[in-house]
This record gives sequence, structure tokens and C-alpha cells, in this order.
Amino acid sequence: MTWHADHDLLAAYCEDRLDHARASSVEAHLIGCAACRADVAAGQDTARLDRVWSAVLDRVDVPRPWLLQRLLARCGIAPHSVRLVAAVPAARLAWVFGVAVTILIAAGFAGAAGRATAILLMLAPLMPLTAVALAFNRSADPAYEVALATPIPALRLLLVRTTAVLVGSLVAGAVAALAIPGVGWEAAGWLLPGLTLASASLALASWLPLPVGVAVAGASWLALISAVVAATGTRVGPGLTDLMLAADSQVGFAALAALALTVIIARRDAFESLNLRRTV
Amino acid sequence: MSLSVHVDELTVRLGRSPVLSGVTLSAGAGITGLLGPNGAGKTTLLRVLATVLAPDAGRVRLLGRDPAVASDRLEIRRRLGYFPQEPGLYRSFTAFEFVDYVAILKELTDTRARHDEVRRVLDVVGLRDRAHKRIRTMSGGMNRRVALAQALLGDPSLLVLDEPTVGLDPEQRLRFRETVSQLGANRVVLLSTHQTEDVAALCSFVHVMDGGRIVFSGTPKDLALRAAGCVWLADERHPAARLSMRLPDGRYRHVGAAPADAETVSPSVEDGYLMLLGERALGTGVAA
Repeated sequence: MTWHADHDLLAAYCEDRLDHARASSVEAHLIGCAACRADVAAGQDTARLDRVWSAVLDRVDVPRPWLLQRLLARCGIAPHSVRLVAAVPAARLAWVFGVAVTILIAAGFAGAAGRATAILLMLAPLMPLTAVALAFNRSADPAYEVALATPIPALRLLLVRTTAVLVGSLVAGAVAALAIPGVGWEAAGWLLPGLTLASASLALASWLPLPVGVAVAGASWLALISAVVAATGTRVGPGLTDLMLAADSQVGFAALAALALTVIIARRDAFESLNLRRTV
Repeated sequence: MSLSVHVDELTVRLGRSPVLSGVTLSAGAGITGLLGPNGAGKTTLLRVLATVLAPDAGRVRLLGRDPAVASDRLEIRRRLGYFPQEPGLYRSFTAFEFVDYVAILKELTDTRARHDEVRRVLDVVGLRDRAHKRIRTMSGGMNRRVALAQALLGDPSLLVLDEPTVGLDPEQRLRFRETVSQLGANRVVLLSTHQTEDVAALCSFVHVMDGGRIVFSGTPKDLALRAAGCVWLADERHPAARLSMRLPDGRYRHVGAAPADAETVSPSVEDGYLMLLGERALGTGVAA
């Protein structure tokens, strides 16, 4: 090599100020010129190199996120929160199972004079509950004991995962409403009861194991529906749909959900004293 | 934050029966071993020290703080690494994904810094090249190294390891010991094990548990000395020995009350443990 790149040119290369063609030309020269490579090495910003190397390693190391993770990230949820949501395989399976069963039952009544909507309204609030029950559970989460020993607040884990389950159920419910003949916009009426049951389950979990809280909330809902059907003397059909969509009913559900959320906040310390003896 | 663990008159009941009864012990910087037969209460004690089990009675101070107080417990957990008896891995995750998940639980929310830390701990346990393998495709030894990696996140001041070498083959055990041996500087390491060899190789201090109590506290050498004058060689098997092992040269190595004219030899930690616990050390006593 009989010539060398001048210092200003190499400095511009190091600071990423050259266009692609000139940078490529400098790199071609550097491959064959040890003196200029030494010059570049001396003028390098090592902190920037560390950042670049770290970024390269991240590209190589970090696995491609799952579909669910990518969808949640697209919705603007922070990547670390997405990982918390997607972690527990049993909860994911329980959610998929709950959604599938609800949609299949509703689909079984497709086109039957408004029965599909009523069935969906009755069952959809229960759809997320199994996944909520398993959101942070000793028997469902293999890493439960490891998680307990970390500083993350248990209530935060529960709320993040429950919210994810509710949002996922909302999407599944909307798809079901569009796909099943005979089900219309009225199907959205399950949202407030669904929120109420999920938040009531968490509120009960400040005293009881979470699966028990979920069972109590779910059984109470079915008992309420049965009582309403018995009291009005109608079958599960348009009458039940009208009743659930009535403004008074929806306000009542919203009030119950607000009450449950208040209990959760008031008793948040109960979630922070969890241990293997007192689990959710 | 002081590098110490103090337990005073600790009692834990599971159901009606006490699993720990009046346990008192201390540990400072370095590797402290916890030795004992199945059912001795080692795992229960370590769960209390890992803040995942609340005791029924007694005082616990971890790194100078009280885990019964919520704010102290949070601070302890920020400086704690825990390897439970059942490592509890997500088998569909890669090693990187699982350790990254626990790093999030440990409040490492900056993605770049967290990934650097995950790479660091995987490097420490020798899994840097296997970071992308699914946990379900890994051997038992590698699984335990993933569990150790998550415990090392954040360079904890208190490291609680519950039987990390169980189920490992000899080579894996040696590699594991090599890794753990380098962790004792500048932190408290509590290591529960069935293996007296682990204690002899790694620990500067050892507590022996039996029936929910501490029955010995001292150095591994002190434990070995419990069998001083009680280990001897002979040409024939001696009926009074607690344990007789036939050596490759055809002679017998006995442990027990030695006859007056016996050819005694230096005892090992295992011999001291056997003399201390008797039949229970051989797994024929108290059940788990």
C-alpha cells in the first residue's frame, strides 16, 4: 500500500459522516492497509462501538417475538410488559379454550331467533375467567416460586395479565359477533359484565385463593342469569338480551366493577404479602 | 447493606406438625452449606430465607433487614438470587427467553441493559453458546445451569441455592461446583445439598440439619473431626462398624467405634456426617 487515507477522512468515517459510496471506498482501503486500520482504531469512540456491538448481539440473541407478543407490541404495550403477559403457557391455553368453547356454543345456536346473541351475552363474561384464575398461580406457573422471590409486585402481574386476557377476549368476542349468523352489535353487551366478573375475582383474591375467587364470581353470574330467566319466565333469548342491554343493567355492572376495583386498590397490601402459604 | 443472614428461634409449621423447630443460625460472606437427610427441613429453611415462605415464629434478618416488613422485603428481593429445589422453567422458552423473563421480574426494564445482563449470566454458567436452545431440548445439567443463571441476575448479595447439584452426572457436578465456587466472594451464598462432597469442595462453613433442627454448626474440617479415631482399615469386615466399604485392594474401610488396636485413618466430611447422624445419614432413618 503506497498511499493512506488522510486523517480528516478517517475521522469522518469513524463519526459516520460519509455517504455510502465514500464509506465503502474507505472500508475497501482499510481491508488492505494496516496503518489506516490502526489510525481508525485509535480514533474510535469505544462507547459507540459497544452500543453497536450490543445491538448486533441483540439481533442475533433475542428470539423473534411470538404473534401474540407482536400484536400487543403493535398496540403500544412496552416490550417487558408483553413478556409478562405471554409467559404462562397454561393461562394462554386456558384462554384459547375458554374463547373456543364460548364461540362454539354460540355458533351452535346461529340463526335461532336471537338465541345466539343471548347465549354469547351469557357465556362471554365467563370466557376470560379461567385464564384469570391461572394468571399467577402456583399450580399453573412453573416459575411461581422464582417469581415470588423477585421484587415485582404480584398485583401488577395480576393486573397486566388480566387486562391482556380481557383485551384478547374483546377481540375474540368481536370476531364471534361478526362471524356467527344472527349475532349483532348487541353482543358487545358482555363487556361490562366481563369486566365486573374479572375485577370481582381479583377483589376476592385478596382474601381467597384466586381460583376460588374466580369460581365464586362465575357461579354467582350463572346463578344471577338463572334467577333472571326464572323470574321473567322466558327462555334464554331476545328477552334476556334486552334485559342485559338495558341502561339500568349496564350501569349496575359498571357500578359493581368500580366497587371491585376500589376493593382491589384498598386491599393491595394483601397481594404483596403473598408467599407459598398464602397464594393467589 | 450488611452481608449477613441471622435466624433466631425460627419455627415453621406446615399443617399441625413443625417442620422447623427453634432453628438458630448465622451466615456471612462466603459459601455456607446446609447438609441433612431428606425431610430435615433444609428446603423449608431456604424458602424462608428466600422470602417465599413466612415463618410461624422467630426472627429473621437478611442483609440487615427484616423480611416481615414489606419495604424491607422489597429491598431484600432486589438483592436476592434464588434457585429453588424445583427450578420451574418454561420448557417452550429458549434459555435466553427464560432468563430474560426473570430479569423483567427483577425490574430490569431497560431492554438493552437487560439483554446485556442476560448474556453476562448465561456466560457465567457456560450457556452463552446454547442461549437459543429450547429448554425442553436441554439436558438436566443444562436446565440447572439456566436456573442458576436466573439466580445470578443483578449480581445478588444473597444467593440461595437449594440442591443445585441433585441429578447431575459427575462431569456436570464438577462444572457446577466450578461455577458456584467462584460466587462466594462479596456475597452470602447458602447452599443446600445432600452431597458431602459439595460441602467439602465449596463451603467455608456448614450447618447440619436433622428433624427440623440444627444439630451441628462449624467448618467442614470440624465436621470431619466428628469421626476422628472412628475410621479404620482392616483386612476383614468388622461387624460393629456403622459402614464398611471394600476397597480396590481388598481391604475394608470402616466407620464406627474403632477397636483399640485399629489402624485409624483421617476422616472425611462424609465420615463426620455419618458419625453425627448415624443411620439417618444413610437415608434409612427419618423419611421426607
